[in-house]
Amino acid sequence: MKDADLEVISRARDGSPTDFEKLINHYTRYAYKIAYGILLNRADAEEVVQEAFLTVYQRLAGLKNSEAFPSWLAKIITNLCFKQAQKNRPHISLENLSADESKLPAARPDTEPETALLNEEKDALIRRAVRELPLGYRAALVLREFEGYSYTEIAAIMDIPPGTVKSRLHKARALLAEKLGPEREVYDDAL
Amino acid sequence: MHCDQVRPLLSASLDGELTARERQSLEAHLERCPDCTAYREKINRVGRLFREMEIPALSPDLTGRIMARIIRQPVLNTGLFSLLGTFMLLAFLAVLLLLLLSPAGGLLFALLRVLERNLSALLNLGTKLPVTGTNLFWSTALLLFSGILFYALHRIMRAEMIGKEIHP
Repeated sequence: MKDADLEVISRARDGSPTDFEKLINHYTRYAYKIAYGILLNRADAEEVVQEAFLTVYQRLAGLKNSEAFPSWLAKIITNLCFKQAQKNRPHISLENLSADESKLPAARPDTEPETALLNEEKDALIRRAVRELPLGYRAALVLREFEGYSYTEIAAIMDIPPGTVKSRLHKARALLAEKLGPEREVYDDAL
Repeated sequence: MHCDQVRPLLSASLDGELTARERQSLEAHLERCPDCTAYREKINRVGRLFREMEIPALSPDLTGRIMARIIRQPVLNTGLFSLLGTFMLLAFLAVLLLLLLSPAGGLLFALLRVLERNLSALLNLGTKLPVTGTNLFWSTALLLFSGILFYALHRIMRAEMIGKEIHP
């Protein structure tokens, strides 16, 4: 962890709202990436990020070790994502989700139209496959692939044994490989 | 080792989470098993596709929305210490007011002397008052009123302080 990160955290802990705003700006992208990876819906992910920072605001003073902040935030985010998914279960359909995503500006830099189209198709395929993964598998995969957390760290974040992390990641990858199996061009592009 | 036993190790090997012994067994198996070698490549590409998945841009006003919600939070969320702090400030203001009302603080000191002399009498007053409906009503009303007063003052001060910090 960089000194600048530690500085932002310890200043925010001292209580000034301006410093807390800096902490939010510093970690919003990190928090949002995890939440979006698990929920695959921008509005829900942003709602979770808001709730997470409110929790951080109330409890930051109790966090002894500043270096543990990112994994602590990841834990809050993951738990809130599970709650959000539970709340949404009865009324969110896949059609609504894809319509929501199609209107959004892309986070990637501009590319050639043909490449962009290919990327969009590839993206839709992986997104569809990821949606079919159980939430616990998705969360483990996000923490590993997006943030590079070790199995022990993921186990601590998700409150599960490291052996379960190992098996969830194996199953998640196997399921994704199975769902993307026949789409050869998807794999070829990823080379 | 059979392929079924090796597959879970392939995923862990991509994450660098194998023990030296597991790594040795896996390498020995991969040397003679093209299926598992191909499978490792496949899940490696799956991981890469997942990492490259497009993430929609964040709403530009997200930080502002979070800060607005922090300002609107009920005072109890900030803890007992904050309430105590407000109480202390209010007590300090009351003392200042008394000093202002009494030229050279003479009246205040006189009051303090009277209070000191009659402290035990004052303390006994509460226990000697009869428990009647009227007394209970007024004491409850006074307690509620003072609680609301502390709460309101704290909210006003806190909102002003945060407002100044965000928009100096």
